[in-house]
Amino acid sequence: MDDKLKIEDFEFNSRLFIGTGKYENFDIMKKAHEAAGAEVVTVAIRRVDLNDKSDKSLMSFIDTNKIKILPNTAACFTADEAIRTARLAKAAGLPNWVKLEVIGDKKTLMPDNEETLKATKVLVKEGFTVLAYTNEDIVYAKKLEEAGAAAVMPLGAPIGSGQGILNPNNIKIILEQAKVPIIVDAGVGTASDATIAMELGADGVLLNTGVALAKDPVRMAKAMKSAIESGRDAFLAGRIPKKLYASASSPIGDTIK
Amino acid sequence: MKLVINGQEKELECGNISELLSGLNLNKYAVAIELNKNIVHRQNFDNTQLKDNDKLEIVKVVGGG
Amino acid sequence: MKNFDFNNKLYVITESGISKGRSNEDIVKEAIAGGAEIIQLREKNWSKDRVKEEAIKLLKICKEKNVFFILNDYVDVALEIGADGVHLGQTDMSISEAREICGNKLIIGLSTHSVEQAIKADKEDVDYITIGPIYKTRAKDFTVGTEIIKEVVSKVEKPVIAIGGINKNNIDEVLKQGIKSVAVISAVVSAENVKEAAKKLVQKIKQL
Repeated sequence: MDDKLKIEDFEFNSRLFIGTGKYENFDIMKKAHEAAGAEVVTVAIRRVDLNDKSDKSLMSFIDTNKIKILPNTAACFTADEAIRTARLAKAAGLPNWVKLEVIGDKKTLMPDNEETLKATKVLVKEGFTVLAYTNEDIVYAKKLEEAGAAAVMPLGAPIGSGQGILNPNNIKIILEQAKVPIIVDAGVGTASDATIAMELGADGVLLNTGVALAKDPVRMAKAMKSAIESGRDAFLAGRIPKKLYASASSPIGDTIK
Repeated sequence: MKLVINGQEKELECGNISELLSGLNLNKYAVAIELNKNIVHRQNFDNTQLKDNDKLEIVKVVGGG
Repeated sequence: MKNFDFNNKLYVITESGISKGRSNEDIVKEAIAGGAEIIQLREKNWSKDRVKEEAIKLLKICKEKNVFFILNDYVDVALEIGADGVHLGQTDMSISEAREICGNKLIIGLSTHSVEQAIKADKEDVDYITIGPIYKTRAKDFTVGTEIIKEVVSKVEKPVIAIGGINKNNIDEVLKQGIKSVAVISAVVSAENVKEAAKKLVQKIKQL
């Protein structure tokens, strides 16, 4: 029963990637990760606060024997910033892969695809496994793949907006044309959003806010886990087509009169 | 010497990066460092000397999505 | 040969990724305060240099409290820093190779996961063996269960320490099988109150 998610040399049983940001505290975060059955969690790279000596280390809440850390290049606005951030993450000892995010607009946090493509080319050349965050632009999705991205990650809706999958049609087209895994990243607000992504045929879902800011993050993490598993099963099971008219489930003839 | 660390100017007495980190009370395994836009790898912390007006970025892992 | 009685002791192994905001030093100090008498540093994801630096720190703490300090896997580092012992797994360096490097200067422990492995280890130049994982743990995806403990204890002469998912709720079951000492990770390392968690386990172990 091998339905593993394969991204270059990495293999995972869980198709749910989850973030480490925005939780009320690290205890809740850890419980949420456990409830989600997470095998991959994302982290960000930030300047150390030289004046703040208190440091409840995030790393002491992540069992790296079970969980692989995926660094992101969040809040980078140019290819150069993103490339430097990826290199710093690697220098910090994190695994040699990166969620590449180059943002083009501060309000919507929409990706700057042109800069993302530039950064992808450079990082791929340096040997990084690049998971490129993008939008549902099918042309850029293809370009990122051709530039060597190991996975392409189209957003469902703006980061943290919880609106779900706003453009399922384009995601479907991206899935049809893609030869690398497609992971829907951003905008997942509740379980059904994640299921919809998986039913479209997505290879995985990456989410953070939907769980971290839910009223009960641990319960929502559990919901997301089931949601993604159901969505995947439903996709592999091959759904019935949608029809305009009815088609009875019980036999027609031999009814009493 | 004057160093610019994470955008802040600091006057510090120091020699190499390991000494700088000790002085700042930072765990060398918990950070990554860029010196004048070049990454310095951990194994070179001891033998990388700092000089006046060097610009450093010292980063760590934090929560994120 | 170092003389050390491995019986009736709580053995605590570090795991920084589940220590929930505490450093290994914090955990070790508290575990020792709660009565742990053997400490093992085991950080599979750290570089050798980092392990060595940490080992030196923890060794110092253990020496001050007369607690046995064991390093996982790196025989050369254990020897260099003056650790009390080294613990090896089934896929690490062989016992004979390790002995060649350290002679009698280090205690050597070996992980075993079956009666056959335990019997085989007993014939080699090891000072103690662990048997496990007894219960489901985060790290391993198989268990050996409590039933084999009795057989291992009866067939092996060297000290046998049970390990794997042991905590205050199941330790009685394990001790009933004839085990004298128990090794734990999450039961102590992830506990809210490390000292109390260690204390409760030590109380059960010493009752025998």
